[in-house]
Amino acid sequence: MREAETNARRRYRARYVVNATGAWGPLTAAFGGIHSKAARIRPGKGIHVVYDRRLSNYAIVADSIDGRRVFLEPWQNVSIIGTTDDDYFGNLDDVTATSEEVRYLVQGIARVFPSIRTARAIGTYAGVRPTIYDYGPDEDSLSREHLIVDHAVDGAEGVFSMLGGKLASYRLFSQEMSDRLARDLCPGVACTTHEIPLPGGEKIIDPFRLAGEIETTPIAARRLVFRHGTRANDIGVIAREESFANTIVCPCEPVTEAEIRYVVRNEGATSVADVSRRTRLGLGACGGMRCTVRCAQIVAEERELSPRESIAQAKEFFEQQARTRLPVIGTVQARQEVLHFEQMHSLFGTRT
Amino acid sequence: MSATVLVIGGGIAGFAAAATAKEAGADVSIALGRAGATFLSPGVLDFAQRGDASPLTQIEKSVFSLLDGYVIEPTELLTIAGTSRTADGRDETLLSVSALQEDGAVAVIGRTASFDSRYLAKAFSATTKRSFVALACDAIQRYADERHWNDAELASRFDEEERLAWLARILGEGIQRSTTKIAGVLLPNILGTKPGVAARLSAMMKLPCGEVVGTSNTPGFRFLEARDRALARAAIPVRRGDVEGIDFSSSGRVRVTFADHVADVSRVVVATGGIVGDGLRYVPSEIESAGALPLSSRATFEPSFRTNAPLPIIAPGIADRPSSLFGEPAETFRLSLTAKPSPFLRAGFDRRALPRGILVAGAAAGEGTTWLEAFRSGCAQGSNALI
Repeated sequence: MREAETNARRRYRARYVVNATGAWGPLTAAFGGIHSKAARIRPGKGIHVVYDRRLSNYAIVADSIDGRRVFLEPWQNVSIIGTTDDDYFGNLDDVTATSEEVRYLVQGIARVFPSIRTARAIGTYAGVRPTIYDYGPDEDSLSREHLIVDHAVDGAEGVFSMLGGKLASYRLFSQEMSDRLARDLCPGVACTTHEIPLPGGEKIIDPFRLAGEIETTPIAARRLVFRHGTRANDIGVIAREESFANTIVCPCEPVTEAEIRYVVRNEGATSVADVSRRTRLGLGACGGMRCTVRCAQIVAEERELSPRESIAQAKEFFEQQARTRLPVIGTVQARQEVLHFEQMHSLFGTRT
Repeated sequence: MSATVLVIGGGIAGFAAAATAKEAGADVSIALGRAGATFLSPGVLDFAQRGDASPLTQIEKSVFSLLDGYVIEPTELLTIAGTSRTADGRDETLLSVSALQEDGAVAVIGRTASFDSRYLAKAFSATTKRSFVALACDAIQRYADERHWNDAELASRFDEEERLAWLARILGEGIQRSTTKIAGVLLPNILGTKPGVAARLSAMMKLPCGEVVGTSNTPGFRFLEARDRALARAAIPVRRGDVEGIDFSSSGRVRVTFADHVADVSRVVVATGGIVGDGLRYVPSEIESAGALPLSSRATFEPSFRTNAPLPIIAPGIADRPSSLFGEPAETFRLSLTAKPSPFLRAGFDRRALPRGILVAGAAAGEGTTWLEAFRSGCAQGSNALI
């Protein structure tokens, strides 16, 4: 294995290896000398378009032009429309939404929600489903079931691949996998997954009390509790004890400086992009204009990176996010995008 | 009878055109959009480095002297990204590293959501040739609630003389305690929403004090104030509101229609900004286009006001690419922090094909992506308005 952060190569030995690499499953299996057909999936690309704020308090379902179900849904602080489902034959490491996929979704949603055409789209995201392989049916008719493959039949004793499944069923899937391993490793022990709360879910935290304690806005505190549950208390400690750590770095979401420091220290975030995935920093209406540079500085400080590395990280995140917005920017948003870049050129001194 | 000129647009190009035409003896008025209408109000259009700051002409000098709080000279500025950059001029409130004495460190002071004096002092020391020190980092907030204010809100406090004196006292104490010799003081974008605050602070401190280049809109507020003072100084009357239409008559007069009145002039200078400044619009608009929501290379442009004569627009980079159906998708456009400015910005009215009576200045003519360029374009068109 190669560590992404240090580039160091290491060897690990284990009695059991679980291949839970989603759409990369066949590739990972192939690394172990297992024929990729033994862990075969049919990659299905899906995209979402993100709109500023909640356009509706309810999820709205519509039929797309080819009869598929698509939806508009309030989600976190934003609204999303989705989703497409198309066979994917491209590079798994570079999956982005295209403007024709966006048009397809907007057309479908506009039939029941016409104002979607004038709503402000602020981004897209794209992914690939690790659907279980089947030749013949169209994408929508494929099974969403999950499957555990024991590669003993392929001559790889102790290697398993987890194929298929959805976000909605991930806990069940993991439980089945753990049960399978437990059968050999600790026979007779009953599963307790259903009795253990997820990390942070131990008890309910009052966001308004927390807001008072760390002197932040009730909205910031509510979002913090929503994202971290009881761990919001640990973030509260940083916010109280470290100078100016209750400052709101990302005003769109909002995200405080304490939360950024917490996810770098405790959740393995190593870059602005990692912090963004953990906290939604930079994913709001301003497209990271106000928070990217500062967040990169906090990450650099926590990880003892140089100022130049911090600047490089900020640029990378900003350009990457702009790339996810391009397929969806309409004629008005294009203007906003130019403003974004002018401002960033001014900060980095990169104008040519 | 002297020429009557109406300038549309209150950005730097519009101001420069109006002031130049006035100086040349025309009967000038200027139409200003709603609050926040100018590109400068978010402080985005700045003196980016072009390295071609040829000396100002006599008329440019005289127009420039009307504006409070700007200098034109090659300079090095510090940004909240923790690095320095060059510029052909500056809002006087920004700290110019080039203007500081050779020896001594720059004191970095203040802590806001985007400005951390400790971090920045270290970063500037690493990315520039000078040394920087962080002093008492929470010096700029006087009351607890100010910690949640944005830079522009805080800046309005420092317009007050008493508050500025308070800051000078705190800074003085901090510098006195420091063992390092201090050559200048760097602060976040809080030194006033009006021009001149940094100069007053520098005088009190007997040290150059100034701001960092940030993302705050404080510099934009200062521009609006400087422009309004300059317009008053030059006695140029202001019309408020958006222009709805421009009609050209066979007698050579131009009628400009506002929501509540009509202006009848001999020349109109359009300085409405380009795509970003809302002087031009993409067609078809999102609202009217049936299914073609995302931008594509098939997008073309039209003026944001009605006219009775065609005003051709050129847009190298977008409209010039022939393609079928929806056109080349937007995701193929390169938006990069290292490459040239994006093609979105480069559309403008085609000067060679405009009807008699109309001139265009600044970004509306596809020029003026920096403060100085917009200023020069405005001055040039302002004098052309009398020809």
